[in-house]
Amino acid sequence: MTEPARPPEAALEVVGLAKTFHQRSGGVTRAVQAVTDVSFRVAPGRTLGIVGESGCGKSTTARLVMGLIEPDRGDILLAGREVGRRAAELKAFRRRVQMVFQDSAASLNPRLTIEASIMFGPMVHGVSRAEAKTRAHRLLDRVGLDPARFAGRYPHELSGGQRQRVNIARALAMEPEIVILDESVSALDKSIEAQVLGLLADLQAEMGLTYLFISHDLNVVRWISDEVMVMYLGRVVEIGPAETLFAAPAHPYTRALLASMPSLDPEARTLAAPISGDPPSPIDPPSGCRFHPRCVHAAATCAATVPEMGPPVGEGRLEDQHRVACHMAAAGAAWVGGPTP
Amino acid sequence: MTTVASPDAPLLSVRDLSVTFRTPRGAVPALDAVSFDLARGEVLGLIGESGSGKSVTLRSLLRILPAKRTTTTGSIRLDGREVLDFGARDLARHRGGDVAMIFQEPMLAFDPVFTIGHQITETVVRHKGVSWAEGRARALEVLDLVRIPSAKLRLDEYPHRLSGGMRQRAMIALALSCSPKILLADEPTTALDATVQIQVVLLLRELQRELGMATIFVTHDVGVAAEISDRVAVMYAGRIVETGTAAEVLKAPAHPYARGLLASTIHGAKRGDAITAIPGMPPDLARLPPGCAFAPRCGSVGEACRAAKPAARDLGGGRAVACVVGVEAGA
Repeated sequence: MTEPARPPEAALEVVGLAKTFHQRSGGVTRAVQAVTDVSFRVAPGRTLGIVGESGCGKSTTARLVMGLIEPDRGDILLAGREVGRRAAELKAFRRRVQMVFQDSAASLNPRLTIEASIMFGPMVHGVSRAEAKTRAHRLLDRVGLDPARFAGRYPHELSGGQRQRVNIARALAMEPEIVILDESVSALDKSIEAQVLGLLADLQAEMGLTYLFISHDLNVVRWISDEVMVMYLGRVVEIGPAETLFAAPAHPYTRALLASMPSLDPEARTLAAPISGDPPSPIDPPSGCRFHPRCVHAAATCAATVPEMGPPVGEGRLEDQHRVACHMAAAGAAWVGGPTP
Repeated sequence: MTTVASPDAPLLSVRDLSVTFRTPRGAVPALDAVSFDLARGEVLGLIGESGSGKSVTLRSLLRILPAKRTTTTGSIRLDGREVLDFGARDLARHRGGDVAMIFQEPMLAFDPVFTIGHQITETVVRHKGVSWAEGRARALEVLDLVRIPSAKLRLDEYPHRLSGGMRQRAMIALALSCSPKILLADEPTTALDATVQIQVVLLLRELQRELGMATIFVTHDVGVAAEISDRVAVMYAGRIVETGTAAEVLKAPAHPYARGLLASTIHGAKRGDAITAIPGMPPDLARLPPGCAFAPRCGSVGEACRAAKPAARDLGGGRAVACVVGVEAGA
């Protein structure tokens, strides 16, 4: 695939998003900096993959974009226009952005047939019952569930893979522009995961959908994403075209994360863990670059100042939209442009 | 101890192990004539999808399936002794002593109201009949063994105080505290973050080598199986469909299901690369088709497949495939 010229208007643009939660326990209030200064843009019909470990803020980012929680700071622009806070604007916004969660059972009402679940949203938004039903049947058929057999069933009568197809149909019934997929295939068995991923890719091509794809599975993210954003402790550490980022990761954390992937080759096993310890808690995150206490390349400046996002500087690097927040990569560290260790 | 097995006999020998659960929906065959051997110091990776029988295999080896609702037939011989004949006394030594198990969720393995040190010490005292002080010394030793930093301080921590990766290490320490002959690992790294998962996998690999401990490692993640297994067994609908060395099975799978599983595991694929999914879904164990359970999803299905369950065919060198179609390894 060739990289088209940067489109004038992003389907979704997020600027300087921040959210701090306040956790009260034992009379002490502690600030959890879940998301700090997150910015990105996704072109129409493309997929941004978001990766990172527990506490990195990827799900909080999704919930902020979805409008499920209020940001402390920052703007969310849909097709170039800022999303307002008034009820009517939010209602319209929520139709245009839909989400599919990891737990396929918990996200469906157990007392509604799957047909009724899919019809519910469009009807709230003024679609007639007859039209909503036609739409539900068309979408069930499209996601591979024969409406004649499945429309009247309840969620517990379906397998996990089938339920996730229903959740996808329900999201699409709202005719959204953006679909947020938060670990949507993670709970599925591999053979079913491959089916659902294939379906998601086909639907995107047909309907021109824009995806935010959140997953801990780096292999899946590489396959589905045009661009990938890596988060660590609430901050974006690296963002860029998927192939550039996977072939030549510039941030030491991204490099460690990619090197942690099992090899799938019993004759070429991983010999040493790239980093030790667990990801720290976003309560009282480290100063400067939040990765510096675990980074083998850290210098004094890394603890002192927060690195800005900028192009990595190095010999082999490509001239593209690749951006990294690392003092060392910005100063032309030896690894820039090179493959994962 | 009555029988002493010869040193070159397998440590564990499972033959025709079948497990049926009695449920309100009728009898559900969870395991169907499973047979395999485990050599001393060997790591066997059991891979397959939900409901394939991986966890039921581990639970029947530990004899922790609910007796009232389970019918178990066949044979499990550990060091020459029949595990299925064990009485209460033998079982108390078997569980946690000769055979120990680690799980996906360490918070369920630990009691939240006792410290890590207390729980490991108690286990050692019960199994080894040593004093509390000796048990506590052993607890410290195993926490050091699993590379928990400042182990001495960690002894007096409650489980919820540890991070996910440290808790997983503490559970491994608990399992190793009585020097088991076999470690059963049920998806122990599945819930961990990527950078922590690889640390725990490497730790288990090192410990297994250091201690010469035989291990059965259950996972749905083919990549993790490749990192740790000497041999691999692929399960589908309660049966082992293929066994062989990890390199043979993962690089050149012979059974159509094993091939499909490997093909649908996305690894290193780029945007737009074709991915192959297995059509259909895993069967309902209560309503298995006659013949091969994979036949309805199989691309190379023939008449014979629907007639009878295919027996395991020995391809030599410890490689076996349960498929009647003339599959060539890696073809």
